[in-house]
Amino acid sequence: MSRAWKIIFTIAIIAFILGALCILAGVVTGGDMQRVQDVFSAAYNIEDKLNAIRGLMGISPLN
Amino acid sequence: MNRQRYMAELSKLLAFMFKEDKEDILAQYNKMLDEAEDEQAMLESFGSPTRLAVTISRTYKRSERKLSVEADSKDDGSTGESAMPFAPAAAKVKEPESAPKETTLSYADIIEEIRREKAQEEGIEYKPIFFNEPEPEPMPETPAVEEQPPAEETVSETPAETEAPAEAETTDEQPEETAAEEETPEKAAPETVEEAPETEKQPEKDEQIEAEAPAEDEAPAEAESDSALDEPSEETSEEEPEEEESPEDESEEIFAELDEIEQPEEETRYKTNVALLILYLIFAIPVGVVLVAAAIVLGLLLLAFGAGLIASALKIAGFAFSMFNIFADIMLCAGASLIAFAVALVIIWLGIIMFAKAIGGIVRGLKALGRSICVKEVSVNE
Repeated sequence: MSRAWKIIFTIAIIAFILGALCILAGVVTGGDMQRVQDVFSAAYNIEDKLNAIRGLMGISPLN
Repeated sequence: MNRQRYMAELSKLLAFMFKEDKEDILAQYNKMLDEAEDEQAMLESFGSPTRLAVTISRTYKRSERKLSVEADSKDDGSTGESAMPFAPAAAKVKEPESAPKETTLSYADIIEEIRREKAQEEGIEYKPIFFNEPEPEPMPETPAVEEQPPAEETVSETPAETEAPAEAETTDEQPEETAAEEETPEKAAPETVEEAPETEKQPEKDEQIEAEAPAEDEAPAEAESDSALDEPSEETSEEEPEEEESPEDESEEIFAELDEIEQPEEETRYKTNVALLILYLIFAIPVGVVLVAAAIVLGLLLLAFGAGLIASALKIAGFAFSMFNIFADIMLCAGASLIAFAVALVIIWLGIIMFAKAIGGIVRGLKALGRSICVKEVSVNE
């Protein structure tokens, strides 16, 4: 069990480091988080879904 | 084997002896090791602890020692009397046939000799540890004296007695001479054996020393009583040749005797408090069920969250390469996807651990707690 834990933890560490490097590379090359968020919400219609959830919870919608 | 380990092992093997005797013997051996120039060589000369214990066990009789102890407790002045019947008899016995079974010194003899000298120096009465096995002691003087006719020996007893202690000390360090002397017939002068106490160094002459020691101490006064004690000593001396067997056979017998002499070991039993156990079960089972259920739910939640996170990571990665045209945005999304994947992997593993370890640990913990509360260990000494 300890050996499996070591392997999984090693993979997770490597993936985390690679992800951090990728984000760093994106930021350095001029990437914009707001642009990514806008594209993502437009593609999956996230705003409507978030408003629906807020309505169910009794919270005022974003817009 | 170093000294400490040797003495520890020897102490365990001598468990069949009385505590006083055992401590005495161990002290003597420690003294011998302290006085030795080379400790390791001395230890090697002792042989293995088992063999040494066997040698000691052959000469030690627990029942007789017990008699001696009881006699001591009853009579203050007759401390040595209980041992006397054995000691003088053993001392007086001369074994002409006690052929040099072994030319090496008997460690029991050495111990007795040291104790005897110490008692003489301190002016106290010597009390041998080893009561059994009276064996004749071939003194270097005694052959010359023994060869004389018995009448002459009786006449020369008193001067021989005075000479014996002095000469015995000089001849103590001559095992070869003692071996040669033992071969000479000594039966004719049992009293002279008393006079020559300390020359026997052979391992099978322990009995002689036992007899010789008290004989030396009471030499002036014991001349008359010795004759009465000669008979048992002679009988024991006669028995000694019989006891002389091949070393291998002896060792086997010795080991068998040693096994018989072993003290009973303490037994431990476990006693369960039934009422307390029932009460514990009444409370432990619901608590255990709740804990196990909580562990299961937590494990399932972790697994579900981890699975969702992996799905999100995969979707983000797909989205990044399909929806974005800018390299920077793609790298941002890929980085976020990898980080999400790493976190998901750890969370899933935690969920698996929760199922595999937590549930089993809860059950074992409850069992151990119940055992510690409801079961008690009771030692039974025979």
